[in-house]
Amino acid sequence: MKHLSPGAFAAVALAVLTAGVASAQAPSPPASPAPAKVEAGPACADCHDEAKIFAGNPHMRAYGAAHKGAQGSEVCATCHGDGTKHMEAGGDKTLIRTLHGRTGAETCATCHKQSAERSSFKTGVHASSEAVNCLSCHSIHKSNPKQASLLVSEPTQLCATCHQDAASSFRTLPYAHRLKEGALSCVSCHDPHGRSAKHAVKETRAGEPGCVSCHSEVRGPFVYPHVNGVAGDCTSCHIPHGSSYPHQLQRATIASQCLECHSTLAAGTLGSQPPSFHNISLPRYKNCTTCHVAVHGSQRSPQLLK
Amino acid sequence: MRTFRSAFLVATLAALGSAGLARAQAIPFDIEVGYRFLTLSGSEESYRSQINEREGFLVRSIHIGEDGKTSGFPILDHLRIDGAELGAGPAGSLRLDAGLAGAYRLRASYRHFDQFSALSGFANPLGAVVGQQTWDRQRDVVDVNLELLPGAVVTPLLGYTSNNLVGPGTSTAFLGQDEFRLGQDLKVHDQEFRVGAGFRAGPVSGEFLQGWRRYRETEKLSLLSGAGAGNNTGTVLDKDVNLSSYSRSSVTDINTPTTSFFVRGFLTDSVQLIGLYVKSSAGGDDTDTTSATGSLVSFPVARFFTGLTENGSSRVDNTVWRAGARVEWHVLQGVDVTGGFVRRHATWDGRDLVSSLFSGTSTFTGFTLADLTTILNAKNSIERTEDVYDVQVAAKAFGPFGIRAGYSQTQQDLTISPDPSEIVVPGGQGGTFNRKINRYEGALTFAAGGFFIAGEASWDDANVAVLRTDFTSRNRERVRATWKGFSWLTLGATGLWIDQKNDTILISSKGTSRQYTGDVTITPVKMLRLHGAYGKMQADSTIPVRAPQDFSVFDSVNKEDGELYEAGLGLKFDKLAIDGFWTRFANEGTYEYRLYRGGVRVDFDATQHFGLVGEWSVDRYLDTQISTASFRATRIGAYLKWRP
Repeated sequence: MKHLSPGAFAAVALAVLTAGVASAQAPSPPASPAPAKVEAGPACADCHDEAKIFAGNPHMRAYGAAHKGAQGSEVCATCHGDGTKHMEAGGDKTLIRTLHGRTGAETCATCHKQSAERSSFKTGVHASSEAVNCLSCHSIHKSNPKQASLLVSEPTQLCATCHQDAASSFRTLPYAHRLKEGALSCVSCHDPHGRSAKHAVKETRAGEPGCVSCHSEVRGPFVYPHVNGVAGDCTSCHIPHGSSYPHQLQRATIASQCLECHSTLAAGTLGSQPPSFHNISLPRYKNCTTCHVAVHGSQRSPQLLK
Repeated sequence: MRTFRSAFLVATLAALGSAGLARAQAIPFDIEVGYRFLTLSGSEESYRSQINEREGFLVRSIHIGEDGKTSGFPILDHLRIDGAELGAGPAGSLRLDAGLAGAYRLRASYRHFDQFSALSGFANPLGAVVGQQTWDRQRDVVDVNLELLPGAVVTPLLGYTSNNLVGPGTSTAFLGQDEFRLGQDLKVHDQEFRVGAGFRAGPVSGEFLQGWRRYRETEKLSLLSGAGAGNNTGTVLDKDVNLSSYSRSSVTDINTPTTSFFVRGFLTDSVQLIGLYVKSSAGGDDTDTTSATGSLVSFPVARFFTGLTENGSSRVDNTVWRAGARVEWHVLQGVDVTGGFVRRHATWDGRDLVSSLFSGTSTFTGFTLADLTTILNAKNSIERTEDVYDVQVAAKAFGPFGIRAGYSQTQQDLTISPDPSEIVVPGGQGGTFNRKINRYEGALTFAAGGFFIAGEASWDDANVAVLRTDFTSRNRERVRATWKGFSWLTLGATGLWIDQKNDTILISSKGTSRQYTGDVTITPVKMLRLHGAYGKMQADSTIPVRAPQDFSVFDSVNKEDGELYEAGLGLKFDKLAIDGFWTRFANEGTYEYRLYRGGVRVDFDATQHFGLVGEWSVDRYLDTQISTASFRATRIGAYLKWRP
């Protein structure tokens, strides 16, 4: 198969994109929606305690930086709309916009709409259905003060609300990543705003499996690589959500783990047959990695012996 | 131990310093610090390999600036620091987020991991209690990102990441037709500097980032005391093989500049285009020296020998680039269409030169010969291209329903040209492979009247397998349903079904996985929460394999049959909170074991500023296969909470 060179491909992609954007007639999207005019009169904080403590909220900071001298009520209006009638009616809730469910999340996406390379607030895997939306995990006024990003609870606990099966694996299998201490959480490996492909698993900037962000010693490149990045990835052998077997392997014994690929019963697949002196009925040869120590790749040994 | 003390000292000093600062500036501050006791019976190696919560001082949690605001600092308008589990590990973290709106935003994190492995069932050819490959290492990861002038037209970006892995271990070396246990000292330092800029000009915005990564690894290996006899208790060609000395040292240096460019623009209010280009070029050099003496045998050179001196140097170049474009079209309220294409291309070129001097050589019939030098001069290469097309439609505004459907196609082209030295047994180590995978996926959500249902499914088919364990078809379905009919009752259930197979003649593998959980949460009164869950996990896979020694064919079978019970309780009074849990998991599959876990935490706020926390937890692991790997660990913790 003939491929475009990387430079030519990038040039074409960027030219198409730039041409598209240049020809667009749409006005520039504002950094944040313009606030509704609030008539002089009582401020939101006169009645609402949430408004009194809003000064430390990242929304207030961002709005304040973009609109010097802005009053608290103005930033309230960006999400809740003009509150004049609400105030005049003595606090009638039907005369103010409250944010719930999917329609509430649509308000969030008014500002948080720009997509990144692998994730999108607006069209990501968790975005804006009635069942799962921004407000399922974040709360503007009632977030957990011990959590960043206005989360209502710690990330792992939030994910477990729906992903009970994955949460159970971490809690109950003997060999699993340690999530309970907080140094790692579901969002260390998954992007909750990511696209649905590959379960929104994070990759490194260079496109490697996210595992090597921590496990850099198996990143390579190696003179003699094995599986990772070539014809498989870390999950070819390991189960990141937890395993019954040492090193979170897929199989109970090393011999099974290795032989399932290294068995040339059928032509056309990658993975050589071990030589016949490997008598796997003996413990010495059942433990393949005792000799083949460099299973993640070697700089020195074609047979991954060191 | 030294690292643990350092981490605890740093955390405590940081906490005290921050407390003073926080108090002076009226920034909220909250710390929980104390001591954890550990009582362990059974296998310490298993306990540390699985859990590794040790006895010692512990900063359980620290939070500074949790309301996100500051006062009195000219260069800060927000500061928050969150830390957890610093000290007696095994995984601690400290995160900082600070900034001044419109001026800068600084995000930094420090994470520490104690990595321990000494397993009974791994690298254990002699059936000893602990396997021959172990480690006891510390990993420290620091990540710092600074964004200047956030929100401006151009926002300069600076970043630094450091990942250190240090510590002793044991490993093995194959030499002279035997394996020998070695002591290992490994030092890995991986760091990356990044500089770039984000930009925003009308409807176009994006980011350019240039990074420089340097990876340096040094490894020293030497023969462990008493390990000279090797694993092979017999003789080779009537000669006893043994090692009297062994040392190996290697240094690996890898430099990787990475350039990434990402741009997005709004064609109209409802159409967004995204383009990306990433290029990463890694160049690695490795040198190593090995020397060994003993009574050894080499079949490749057909000699006995008494000494080996080996010098090696290698070079590997790996260039990866990725380019693509996406479109996101907001068709109408609640309906979005997205699609994209990305190409990933990677090449590896490896060159390896090894000079081996065999001294004290003799033929297998006993004739003394001169020293022998062999040269390995290898060159191999790999090229891989992957094209992925995807399109997805999401309709989320059908009242309580949300629907998503998508299709993607992945085309993989792989060419491997191994060096002849890599080919031990002909076949399976090189060639050209092309694989095409089609994926159809869909999801449905429903939320109304206290019901929540989310289902997702994907169906993959591939024309061929590259690895034997690759699928030719795979289905995955998952459903989660909850019902919150009353304010005091929530019922939930989850089901996961995965089926995959490879129909290739003489492979004919199949695998299934089933996972079911049911859970109930009851809050009869506001102060009391009760939780219970039951789960079932089953997995079966078979694939025929060939035994190397006699070419017989047999099925490699893996089975999991696990059953889970969970119970939890939460009780909250004005100043007192009690949380408890208990779980039991039993697996009767290929590897049988049972695992019991339980714990209670009592949290008492004595005053507005001080509180006391007591914790008790137990982990009991019963290994049916290797009974000596079982353990029971009880931990008791006493912590002081302080909010100045």
